[in-house]
Amino acid sequence: MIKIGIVDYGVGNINSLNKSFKSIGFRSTKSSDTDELKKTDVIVLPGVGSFAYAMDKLKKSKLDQFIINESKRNKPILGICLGMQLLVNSSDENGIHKGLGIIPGKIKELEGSDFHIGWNNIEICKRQSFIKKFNNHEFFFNHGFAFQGNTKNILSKTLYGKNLFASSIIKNNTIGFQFHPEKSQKAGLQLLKSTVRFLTKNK
Amino acid sequence: MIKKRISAAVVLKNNKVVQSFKYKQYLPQGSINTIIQNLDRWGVDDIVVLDIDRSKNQLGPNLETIRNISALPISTPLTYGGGIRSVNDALKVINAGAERIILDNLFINQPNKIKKISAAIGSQAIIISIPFKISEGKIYHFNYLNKRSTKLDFKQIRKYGHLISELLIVDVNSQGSSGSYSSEVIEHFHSLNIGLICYGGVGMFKEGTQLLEDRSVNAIAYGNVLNYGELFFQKIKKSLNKSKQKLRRPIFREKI
Repeated sequence: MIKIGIVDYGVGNINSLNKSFKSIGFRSTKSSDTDELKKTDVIVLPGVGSFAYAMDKLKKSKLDQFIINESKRNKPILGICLGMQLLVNSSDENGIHKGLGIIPGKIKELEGSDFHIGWNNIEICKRQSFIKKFNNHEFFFNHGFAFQGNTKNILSKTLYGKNLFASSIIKNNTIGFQFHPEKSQKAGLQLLKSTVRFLTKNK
Repeated sequence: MIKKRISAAVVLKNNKVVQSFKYKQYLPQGSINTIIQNLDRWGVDDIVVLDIDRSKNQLGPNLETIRNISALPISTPLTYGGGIRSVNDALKVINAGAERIILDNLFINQPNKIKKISAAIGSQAIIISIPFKISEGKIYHFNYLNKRSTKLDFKQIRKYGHLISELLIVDVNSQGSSGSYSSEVIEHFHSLNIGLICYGGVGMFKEGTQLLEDRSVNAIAYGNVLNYGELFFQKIKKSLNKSKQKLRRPIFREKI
C-alpha cells in the first residue's frame, strides 16, 4: 500500500491531511524524522501561515535540505497551500525570503493587496490525465500571495478579480496546490487520490 | 469566479453546542460531532466554531474540541474563535486543525499582538469579530464579557486592517432570530475595504440575497436555523442563488 509522509514542522493543520489520506485508502504518517519520511512513497509539505515563519521552522529542523535532496532523487513531493509556495525560489511576503527552489518561480502578492478566501474553480492548463477531469471544479482557497513563474510549470490557473494566477504547479515529480484539497469536500479528496496515484504511477 | 460563502456557525458554551439568543439565553443543541458531520455532509462552505466562554473563564482556546473535530471524517474548512490570547495560542489552534482564527477580546484589549500573530500564521488566517449594536444611527461595539457597549472605533480597525483578512460582524440584538439583521450597518464598513461575514439573525431569503449583493460581504453565517431541518441549508442556498452572486451548490456526501 502507498505510504504518505507528511512533514511535521510545526506549521499547519497536519491532522486533517493525515486523516484525509487515510480516508482515501493510503497509509499516512506525520513526522519530522527524516529517516521515517525517507521510507514513504510521497512527501507532503503542508502549511498554513507566513512564508518566512515556515521557512525558518524548516531550516531550524534541517528539513529544508532534506526536502531539496529528496527532490533531486526524484522523490514524489506534494506541497499544499503555503507548502506549495515554499517549493519555489522566493517570496515577497513581509520582505524577500528564499524558498526551497525546487520549482522555479516567485511568490508575489495578489494585485490589489487582497486576500483570496473561499471556493473558486480551477482551469486546467496541462492535460495530464490525473487532473484534467477536475477542470472547472471548485476548491477552497485561503491566501493573499500567489505563484509567478514559467508557463510550462503551471498545471492550472484560477481567476480572482484581476488576478489570473497559478493554482497548481508541477515540475518533474513535484506538484503544488495553492488550494486545500483536504478541505475541499468530495472534489478535493478525489483530486488528492488522483494526484498520489499519478505521483506513484511507477510504483 | 470566487463564490460568496454560506458559513455555518456553531456556538459552544461549557463544551456543549448551544442555540444562542442575543448572547443572553442558551439552549442545548446536541452532540458536536453529529452537528459538525451533518454540516459537512450538507456541503456548507465553511464551519465557524465560536466557543463563547473561553475568554470569560480565561481558559485559552479549546484545543481538545478542535482536535476532536479535526479527527472527524469531514473535509470542510474550519474557523475557530474563543480564548485566543497570544501567538502561541494562535499557532496551537492552527496546528490542532483550524484554517483560520477569530479574535475578539484580544483585538479590543491588546491589538498590538495582532502583528505578531499575523507574522506567524499569516493575515489570511485572521478574522476579527465585531459584535455590534445600533442606537440612534450610531454603531456600538458590544463587549460580551462585561456586557457593555462602547462606540465602535473604526480608526482602530483601519489601523490594523492590513493584518486581518475579514471581519465577522455580529448583530447582537438579532442573534438567534431570523430576518432582523441590521443591514444598514454594512455601509459604515465600506471604506475599510475588508471583507465582511454577516452573522446574527440574517434572514434566509430576501435579506440574505440583498446582503450577498453588497460588494463588501464575502459570507453570511447562519447558526441556529441550520439545525431546524436537514434541508434548510439546501433551501437557503437555492434561494440565495437567485442573487447575482452565485454560490457554490450544496453537496451531499457521496462515496469517494
